[in-house]
Order: sequence, then C-alpha cells, then structure tokens
Amino acid sequence: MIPFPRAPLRSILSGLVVALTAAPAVGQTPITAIGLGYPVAPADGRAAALGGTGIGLLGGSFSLASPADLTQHTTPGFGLAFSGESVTLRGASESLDTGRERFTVVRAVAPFGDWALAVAFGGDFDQDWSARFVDTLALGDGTTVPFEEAREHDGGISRIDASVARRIGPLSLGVSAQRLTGSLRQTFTRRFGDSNDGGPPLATAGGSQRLTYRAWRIRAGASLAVGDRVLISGVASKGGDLTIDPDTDASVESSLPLPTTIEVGASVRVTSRLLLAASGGWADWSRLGDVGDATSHDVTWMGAGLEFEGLRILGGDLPLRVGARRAELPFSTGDSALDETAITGGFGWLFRGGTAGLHVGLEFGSRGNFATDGLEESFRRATISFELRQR
Amino acid sequence: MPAAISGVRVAGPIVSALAAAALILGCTEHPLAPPSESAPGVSSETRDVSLDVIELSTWRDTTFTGFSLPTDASFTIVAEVPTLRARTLGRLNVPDTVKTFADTLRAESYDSLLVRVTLDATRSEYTDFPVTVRLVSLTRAFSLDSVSWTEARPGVPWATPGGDLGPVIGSADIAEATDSLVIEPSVSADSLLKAWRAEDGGNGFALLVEGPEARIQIRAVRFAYSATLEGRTTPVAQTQLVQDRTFTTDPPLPATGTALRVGGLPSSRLYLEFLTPDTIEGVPLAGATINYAELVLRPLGPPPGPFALERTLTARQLSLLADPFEFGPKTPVGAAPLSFASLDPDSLSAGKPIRLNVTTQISAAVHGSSGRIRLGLRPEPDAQTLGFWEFGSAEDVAALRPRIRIILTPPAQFESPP
Repeated sequence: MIPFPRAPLRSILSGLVVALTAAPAVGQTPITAIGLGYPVAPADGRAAALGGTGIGLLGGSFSLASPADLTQHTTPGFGLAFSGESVTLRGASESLDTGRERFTVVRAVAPFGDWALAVAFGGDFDQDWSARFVDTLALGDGTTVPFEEAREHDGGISRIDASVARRIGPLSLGVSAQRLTGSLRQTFTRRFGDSNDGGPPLATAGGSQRLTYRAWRIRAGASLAVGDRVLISGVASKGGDLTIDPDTDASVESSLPLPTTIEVGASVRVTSRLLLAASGGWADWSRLGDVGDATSHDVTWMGAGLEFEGLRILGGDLPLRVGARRAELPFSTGDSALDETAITGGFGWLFRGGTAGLHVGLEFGSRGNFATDGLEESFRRATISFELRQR
Repeated sequence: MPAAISGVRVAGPIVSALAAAALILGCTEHPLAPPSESAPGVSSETRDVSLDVIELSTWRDTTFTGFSLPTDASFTIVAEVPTLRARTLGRLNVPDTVKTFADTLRAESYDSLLVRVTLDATRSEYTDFPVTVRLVSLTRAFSLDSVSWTEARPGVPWATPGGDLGPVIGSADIAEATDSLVIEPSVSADSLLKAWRAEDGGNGFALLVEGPEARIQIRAVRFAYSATLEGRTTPVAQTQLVQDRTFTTDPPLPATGTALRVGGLPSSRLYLEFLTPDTIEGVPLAGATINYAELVLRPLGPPPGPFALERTLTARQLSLLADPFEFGPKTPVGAAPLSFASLDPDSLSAGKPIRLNVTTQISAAVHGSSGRIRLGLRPEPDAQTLGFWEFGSAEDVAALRPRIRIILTPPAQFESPP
C-alpha cells in the first residue's frame, strides 16, 4: 500500500462513523458540476473575440449560430475550433485552480447556388470536473487510516447539427435539426493507505454511474442582408425532452424539457475596415425546474464587438477584434442565475487569398459572485479556430 | 451546376475530416484539490459497523478436539510441580533381525545399552539441581492413543495413578540446564531388550522426574546398543528412536465446554459457520464495498495452571469445505490458508481479542456468491504445545461473545440527473 501524507488535524474526522458526504459544498463547486453543467458556446475564434456574436456576422462564421447565416458562405469550407480555459474557483479561505480544454465546434459548409448545407458537431454542455483530496478515516476503535479520494465527472452533452439554408433575394431562411447526445460518467474512488496506529488494511472503495443523454432540437432562422454592409439575423429553437438514461438499476430513466431559445444578432460594416457586431438572446431554462441540487433559470445574454481590418502580415490579412459579453447561466445553486461577464479580443490571419484562416479569440471574465451566490469563478479562455475554404 | 459538382467533390474530404475531429472531440480536465469537507460530487461514507453474533440466527460455533494426540506431538513431558505431574510413556519394539551390508540376521545378544534423551532446554523449567530422571519398566500394558494418568486403557485403571511402575531400568541426574541426557541402565541390556523383542515392546517404560520441582520437555528418546548377530562375533551398533511414545498428565487436559478452544493436547480447533447478514446496524451490505471484515474473538481468562499458553502460538485460519456440524467424516478444509493469527498469552491475558480477517469471504457473499461462511482456526502446526486458550462463544455473555466487524462503503447514490 502507498503511504499517504497525513491530513492536517483540522480535517481528521472523528466519531464512530465517518461521513464523507455527497452534498456539493458551495464555494468549491465548479460551475460544470451544477445542473447540466456549463453551457458551451459552439463558437469559433472570430465569434469568441467579438463578444460571442456568431449570429448575423458578415462574412460567415463556422459557429453554430443561425442556420440562415449559412448563405454568407460562398464557397465550401471546413472549420474547427478548440478552446482552452484556466479557471480559478474562489473559496472562503483559499482559491482553487483548474482548467479544461474542449473542441467547441467542428463544421463543414457546402453552398449550392442559393442553397447551403452544413453538418457540424458542437458542444452544448460541459460537465467535466474532477477533485482529489487526502484525508483520514477515524474508525470506531480509535485507529485512523489515511486515504486519498478522487471524485470525477467526465462527459457532457454535444450536438450533431444538420442545417440547410436558402437565399431568397436579400432574405435567407434556414433550418437545422440537432441531435443532442452525450454521456456523463460519475465516479468516486477512495484509496486507503497504511495506518500508523494499528488500523486494519482497507480495500479501495469506489463507485460509478454512467448517464447517457439524447434529445432532438429544431432550429429555424432568418437573416436579412441590407446591401453588403448590414446583416440582421435571428433564430429560434425548440427542443424536445432531454432523456437521461442511467446504467444502474437503482436509477430510472428521466427526462427534462429543453427550453425555447430566441437569439438575434446583427453586424454592420461601418467603414470598409471596421465592422460592428452585436447579438443577444433569451431562453426559458426555468421550465426544467430543479436539476439535481441545482435550480434552473430563464436566461438572457448579449455581446458586442468591433473588428478592424487593414493590417497585413506575412502576406495575409490580420483583422483585430475586441468585444465584451454578458450572459446568465441556466443553472445555479441559489435563487438567481449566475452572471458571466467577459471582455474579449483577438485576431485573425487570413492567408492564401482568404482560403485559409486562423482565428484567435481571448476572453477574460468571471462568473458567479462569491458574496451573493457563494460561488465564483474567474477564467481566462483562448479559442483557436482554423478554417479552410475552397478557392 | 458547377457549384454542385464542386460541392460534391469536397464533400468526401470534409466528411472524413469531420469524422476524425469527432473522434477526438472531448474535454480534458485538470483536477481540483479542495479540502475534503468542501469537495464537490457524490461519494459514500465509509462505515465501521459491528454485530454481536447472537443477533445472527445462522451462527454456529464449536470446538473440535482430538485432531492430534500426545502421540502425534513432537515432544513429551515429564514433570513434578505443584500444578502438573507428567510422565512420558513409551515402548521400544526391538526388531527380530538386524540388517547389515551383507545380510539380515537375528541378534543373539545385546550389550552396551545407553538411553539418550534429547531435552528442549528452552522449554524446560527447573527449581533446583540436581534433578533425577528415571527410566522405569511398566508392569501393565497401556494403549498408546488412550492412556491417561488414571487408566492404562479405557476401562483399565492403573493400580497406581500415573502408571504401574516396575523395576527401575536406569536413572541419570541433570545437574544444570541441558539439552541432552544419557541414562545408563542398571539392568542387563541383553535380558531387557530380548524381553521387549519377544513381547513387541512389552508393557513399555515410563520416564519420570524426581527431586526438586521440574518440568522437562523431551524432544526424543533413543536407545543405543550393540547387537551381536548369530554366527558373528563383532557387535553391530544400533540406535533406535522410540516412536511409540506419549505422555500423561495430572491433572488431565480440561474438558471442553461451550468456550471455543485452540491448542492443547489433544489438539483443539474452533469451527464456526454463519450466513452473512443482510444488514448490520441498519446498513445494508448488498452492493457495498467491503473495505475490511473481521471476526473478533474475545479471550477468556487463562486456562488453569499448566494448560495456559506459555508462549505465542501461531494459529491458521481455515476455510471449511463442508458442514462441520454434520456427523460423518472429518470436514475437509481448503487448501490455501486464509491467514494466520498469533495467540500471544500476554495480550490474551490482558483481554485483547484476536481478529480473523474475513474480508474476502464477506465480500464474496455480498457480491453474489454463497453467503454461508465456514471457518476454522487451528494451531499451526497441530500438537505444538500442551497449552491452549479459550475464547467466548455465542453462548457466553455479551462481553465475551464473538463479534463481526465490517468496515464498508455503501454504493454511492449518484443522482440522475446529476
């Protein structure tokens, strides 16, 4: 057996029986552990840098925004976005650092005359987190056994998207069908070490449960191009029931009604080198009611950004972007939704005549408020996307 | 149409790239290191619960005695102390013939008899010296397996308790603690050995101790003599180990009662059987991780006088492969020892229980195999000491009854939705 470092005295548990409780403690709970987790924006680097404004974006976006915006793509293309973030959880006495990486969206677009088709795989909710700690088990006979415990949630919900759009003059209409799918594996493992005071050798304890998710969601959108300088877009989505199927006999299948979502956005090319984009939305997540220990809330979000074009480097265009966004998160442990705010920025590099592009979006923000919500995370996120278009 | 053709041309690579990306789609996570009291997520408390076996209707325990007799022990005893009188009894079956390199011949005469006694110096106790050890002929035959201090064989009492002593064959003094002793017979070796040869050992002999109080443990008794074979003149040296030997004690080994006994001679083992309960202290065992399980046996007070363990006795935990309470052939035991327990007289005297690890059996029972657990505890090896120790059984008072202790972690109650 492996000797473990002794836990500080304050964490030595006493009594006949040691309770290592299941209740998430406010203050050290990552947002990904609340409700269905943290909502992942299926956005590429350009949208992330512009305050999350992937909808109604002139020039097209590989973000999973409005299907009507597909007509902004004039040539077939493929885009892939990867996001990594560093997170600091604020606690009453000390802060904890964690981080995670994820692919946010992978999308292929193929326009055919006035039509455009797209398939995509994108994130929806991230439920990943893990925690490890060392403590000491006090047994009934007064002996103690050190242990190391790991608790993990691994998984989340993703979406597979198939979209079609058609341009009718300045108007574009689009619909998409999304299959929500995913799984979550919850595990805990308690590994005991050697007792220093005669306690018995204890076998490792553990348990796990795997949940699988599935649901359908339909999205319909429309966009209006006013000349080549203004694009206004909107999308509404309606989800079915999210079915949650556990793999254990002890739990039964359950379902949650997915919300109705309305989202609008627009971008304006103010000058030949300056683009202004803004978007916002609303979703009635509160119809889910309580999800585990979490409460669900109706949420709104909005964001805006500026894009400046005019710089070139290594033979390619180098657009610079800046923005900000604010969003409410659908799940919290309190009565009100958690707020997330961030300032954003980034740049792109479009080379080979615009057929290849690299976009970097940086976000610095926080979510929750320790004083009011008992929960607060600050985060630094970088989203890097790469796109290829047919010449 | 060119656009459509173009789109079809790129669809294949795009779909391939999309599939590849989907395969690697996912997240990685850097673990948090929170204090235990504020760690998020579902876990399950590890519980330390115990059960008095009287609460188990399926509990059965007993002592089985007689697996090994004094005949099987690697030692015998001679003693004259206030708490114990003991004599070693033996029979030397002198062979009719002697085998040489050339042939096998009948012995015509015997001479130069010496009796070499190997003592266990570390397990012999003396109050003073010299101590005399006598080798005495017995006038009544005894049964090797059933002789006792009072009876030569069942239903045939000794005229004198301890054995009907005849002529002294020889004696020797122990002047100091030693591991060997040589007795030079005072009788004719030829007549003695011929008599024993004629009667397959005859009534046998007894070794006894006289003088200051002493308790001597004997490892072996050997008769060394020379035999002159028929038609030969040169005597042949012979050494014979006395294999038919035993010892008797006064008082005899206390009879077993309801207590569970381990050790002693005849050797005792404790056997027990129970069905794993469904719950302990209200905690269901089904599906739980059994981190540790033990049977706690509480020692009774030291056995009387000479029968208390003098030093640590190693005992082996056995798995029983059949019902030990069913009358019939000896219960078969599992091939592999489960674990060992040390019976230390000092800690047993202090009331410290012994603990038999039954984690494997309880865990197997909880996870679907037979819940019936059958265990034994025997000295390892059997017949290693006269001493024994007893433990409380289900028929004792609560403070002495065995207990089952289980440290377990019930299955985590993961929530769905999380």
